[in-house]
Amino acid sequence: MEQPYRHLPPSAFWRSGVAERKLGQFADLYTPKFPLRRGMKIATAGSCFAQHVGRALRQAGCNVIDAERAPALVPEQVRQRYGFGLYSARYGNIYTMRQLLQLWREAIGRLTPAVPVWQRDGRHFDAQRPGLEPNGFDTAADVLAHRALHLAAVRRVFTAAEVIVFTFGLTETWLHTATGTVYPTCPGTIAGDYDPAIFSFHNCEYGEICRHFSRFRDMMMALNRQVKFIITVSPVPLTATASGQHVEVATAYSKAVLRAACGRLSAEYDNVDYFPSYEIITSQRNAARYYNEGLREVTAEGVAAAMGTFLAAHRLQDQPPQTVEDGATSSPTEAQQFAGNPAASLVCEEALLEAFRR
Amino acid sequence: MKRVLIVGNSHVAALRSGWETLSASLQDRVDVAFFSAPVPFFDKLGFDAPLYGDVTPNTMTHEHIETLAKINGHTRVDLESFDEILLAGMYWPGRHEITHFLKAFAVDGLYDAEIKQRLTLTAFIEFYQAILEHRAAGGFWSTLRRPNVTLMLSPMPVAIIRQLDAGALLWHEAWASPEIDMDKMRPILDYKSTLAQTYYASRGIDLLPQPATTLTEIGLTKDIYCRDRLDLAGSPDHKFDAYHMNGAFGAICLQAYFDRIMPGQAGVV
Repeated sequence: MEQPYRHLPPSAFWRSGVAERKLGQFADLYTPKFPLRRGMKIATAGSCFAQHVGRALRQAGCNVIDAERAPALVPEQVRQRYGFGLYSARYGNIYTMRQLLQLWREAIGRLTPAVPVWQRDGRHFDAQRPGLEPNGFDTAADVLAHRALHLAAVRRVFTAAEVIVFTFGLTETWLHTATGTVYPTCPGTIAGDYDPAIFSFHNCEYGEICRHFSRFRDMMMALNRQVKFIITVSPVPLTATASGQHVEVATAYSKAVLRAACGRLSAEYDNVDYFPSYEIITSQRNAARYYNEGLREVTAEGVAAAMGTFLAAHRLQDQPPQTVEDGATSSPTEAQQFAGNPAASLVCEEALLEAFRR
Repeated sequence: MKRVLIVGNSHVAALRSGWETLSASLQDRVDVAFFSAPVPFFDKLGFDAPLYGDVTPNTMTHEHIETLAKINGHTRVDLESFDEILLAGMYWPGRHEITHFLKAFAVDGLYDAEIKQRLTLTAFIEFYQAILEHRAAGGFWSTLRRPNVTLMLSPMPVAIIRQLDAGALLWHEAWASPEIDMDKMRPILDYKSTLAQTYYASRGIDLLPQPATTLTEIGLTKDIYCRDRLDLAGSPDHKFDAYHMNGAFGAICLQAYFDRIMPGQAGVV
């Protein structure tokens, strides 16, 4: 009797596709919708897992835009403490699509975030990237002056980008209630003061995530009709939830919403591709082996599995290095460091929430 | 009588010429010896033994040894037989590192140039100290507890560098770059020197800054100090470069050095 499952490939069945799959084999989980070509100008942004994406692309010799570059003489670890080399500009982690859309609207002068400067111990911090300067700025005016230069860099990044790689991290965010300005961290954690009359918790929903992405996509396509997007969901669980639910339940909800949004966006738009880093890391086949002891951070092996799958699918592993935006190439030192310790040195403000437990 | 060894690369030539000016009035208080070799040959001299210049056949050719003998009259020197050592002409932490900053960044309160990127002072300090940790040599010298070691870095280039063609200059791309606003760089150069002094002091090395009287307002060396230079062998050096100085410069630096190691005793009579 003819039935629709008869001719499906082994990957369509759980037993052959997952249970019997060799450990570390993920090649058939991902078929790129469009190829990443050598020399394409790539912008990266997203939650802290996105740092792995950018690092892997640079290591593979891709043309990852770096519009705010530190002197190469400064060791990578020190550069990263100040937000250099993590993404295509020093915007730090962007956990939600709403935050990315807000950043771009600010960069082109269509929005001014509320309460842009936070304070701690007499020092001043950029509320939109509070982890950028560990010791803060001398004055609020300094914050705004530095931010103006950063926004110019953001404009350069997205004006030049041919491919935008974004990793969705969280649905939970904190916003300025009256204006809707979102922040990457809760006021009162890294800096700022939490006042429930001013700030409130918000858990982004499926519809608004899709809407924010679509709006951002439209704005990018207004700059470049050919621009492409690669979207992923971070496999890193929430450090803490303000939703009132158990953190495991809240994580499952958050990731499910983000995954569903990515599914719809990649199905709806020809220029949006979904890369299943989330599935590769969280697969039952791995039995949590790609998480470290705290069951939150992804191990070096997990990063290598995910990014290796991505690079292999795009045939980027053996390509020669490209000149990157602003004229320099990914340094061998940086590449060697990645090869030696691929899970090293993520900068993740969200993880700091653990430090604020009672 | 203090025994002083001045050791280093091609920049020792200016100090040797300068000593000829000062020696008449100081030779009863200080006994000065020189030991030098041009870069990159200088870097091949042994640092790992108490005998500086204790040559090893694998790295030193016969020609090298002849050069060493021609310049110094000998190929070995016993560091520990001196009271003081002036290590001169080193590039670490030198112009190369700071030009990277000046080309890429304005720095709050130190360098207010029209540049696309800006660093806070805190970030600059941390970046520069990290560079010092990674790039600054001196490991061997900081292990010497006796004699005392003073470090004199290679001089800043002369001011005329701003008016010259790229082809005429060594290191042109670094200092004469249009990306550097030379009119505004003095505060950051001074601050960098302070950071470097602190760094070396913590390692037992005294860093002698380039005397202020030899610098222009913007922090480059005055042009008069690159005229009528001699080379390491004492012959006139007619090739122009913006980085090697003459005996007048050397005398000023040496006087500053002697004032430091013999306070109140080194005034020229």
